[in-house]
Amino acid sequence: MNWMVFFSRCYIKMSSQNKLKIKLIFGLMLLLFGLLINFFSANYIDYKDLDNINRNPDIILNQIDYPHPNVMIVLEIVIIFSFFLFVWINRKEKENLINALILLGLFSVLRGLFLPLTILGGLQGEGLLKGFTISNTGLFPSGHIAYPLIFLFNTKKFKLLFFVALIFVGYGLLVSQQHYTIDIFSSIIFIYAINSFMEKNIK
Amino acid sequence: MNLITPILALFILNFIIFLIILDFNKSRKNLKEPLITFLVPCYNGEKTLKCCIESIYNSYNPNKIELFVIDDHSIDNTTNILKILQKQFKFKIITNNRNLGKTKSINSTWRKAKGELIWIVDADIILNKVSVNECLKRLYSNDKIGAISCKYKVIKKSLLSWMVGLEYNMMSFVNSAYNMFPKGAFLIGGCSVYRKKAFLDINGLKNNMISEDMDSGLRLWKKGWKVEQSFNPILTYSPETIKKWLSQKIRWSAGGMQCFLSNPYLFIKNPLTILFVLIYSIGALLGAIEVTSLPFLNISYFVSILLLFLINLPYIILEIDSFKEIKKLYYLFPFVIIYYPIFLIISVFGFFKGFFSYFTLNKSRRGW
Repeated sequence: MNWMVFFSRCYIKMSSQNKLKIKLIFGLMLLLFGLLINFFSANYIDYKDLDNINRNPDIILNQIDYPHPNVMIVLEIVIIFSFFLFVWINRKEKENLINALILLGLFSVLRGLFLPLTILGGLQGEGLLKGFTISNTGLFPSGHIAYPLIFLFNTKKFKLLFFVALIFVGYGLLVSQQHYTIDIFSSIIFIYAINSFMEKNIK
Repeated sequence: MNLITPILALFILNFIIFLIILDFNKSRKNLKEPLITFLVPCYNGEKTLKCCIESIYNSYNPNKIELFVIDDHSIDNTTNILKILQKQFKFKIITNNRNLGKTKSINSTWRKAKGELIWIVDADIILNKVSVNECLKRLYSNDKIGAISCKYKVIKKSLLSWMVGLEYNMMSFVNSAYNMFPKGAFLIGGCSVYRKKAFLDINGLKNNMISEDMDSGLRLWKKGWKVEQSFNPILTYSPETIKKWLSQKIRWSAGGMQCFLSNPYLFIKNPLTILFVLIYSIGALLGAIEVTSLPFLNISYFVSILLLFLINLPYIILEIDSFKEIKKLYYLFPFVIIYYPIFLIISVFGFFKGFFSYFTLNKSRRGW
């Protein structure tokens, strides 16, 4: 429940900010809905025989001789750092935080819907720890690239910083062979489309 | 019970919230300041009447207010309080010789109204400027809107009033989503404003209905008017004792059933109302699982409680005004575990009572 407690800080003068309150509820409920759909999709994927699916040819991944899975930990740190930076920058502009939450919720819903439709096959290689293979499900669209992009769309300051983070995360995902190229580019298109929809109807 | 139930419930909930946000984003302007006729029917309202009348004069231009207070043969100190208040605010008092009930009191008075709008306010309601302005904005942004009902915010004194507050939130939350539909929302009485033309069209309230507000809303739909629900709350007192609460729940659910049986074609003609039924059906389904699995205390019981907790989360968030009040989330536990199943059982009982009464008893009497 900690995330819910955290995001409930987003509103202070609630009696005069009904719209903000409802948007916060919308974000929370969408995130819950997205998590449930992702869980449902993951259960569905488990029935598939993924061992027999071979790695697909990819325009960029094929050029990289061997994966660098250790880059992933740097990526995770960059994403976490950009999250805290985003929250700190927008600590007084609650609406930006709530818009980011709604964007994340809508993205997670869409991602959950697409996951069972696009099982592209697992990437070969080992994870961060020896003996654990890299997750071979939940590839399309990429969730990692979505975070810096969501922060980039919902902030007015330090946009360049989030843009650098975005490029770095995208590059790192390819080098560590965690995602196919299509996952990363599709994620960018998804987020852009959702953001355009939000600007028209929700913001 | 599988994953489909929460997914469906959350989908409908998200759809409803999305509709509310769309409704919020509509731009509305009001440059008019019309004469409004306020009708306040009261019966034994000595505790709340003063606040009610003062709030009316504080929330709108006093020169544009015409106020009728209808004393429905009160047996407490209401008459004296009214006389004292009349010296301060110049309103008209109409005294009934015997107890006629809310509907007849209003029907005998509304034709005297000179205002462009007729605002029916119960004696236990406290109006505010923001809500009045919002209602006017809504009314004058669309000529087809015939009536608007206000959202309630309960004055919290006890645990019961908290629970009732959450229930009211649930009701108005779902109802607000209907503003985006062509016919609009259901009319929730207590504090509702009518365009006088629309009120003339439906010829006032019906005497023989239990929930005359909902019925008048349905009749407005029938005449081609739209009904909306405002989202800025007005304060109200909730039933103080369990006995009063029980009678209110039975009255509401029986009244809802009576309205449904009186105007079934409206529900069939407007298929979007099925959404309203659906959100309550899922809540009712989860509640039914909770009630039936209570004696066994098995996994279904705890899962249904968890799901009800999630579904009812928006209603408690509406009550939280700052981070300091985050502890209010705990009120969800008694709401889901105790209040919700009892509310469900009482409502089912009320529905059956309304159903049988409709076919068996004399329909010309209000309470049958």
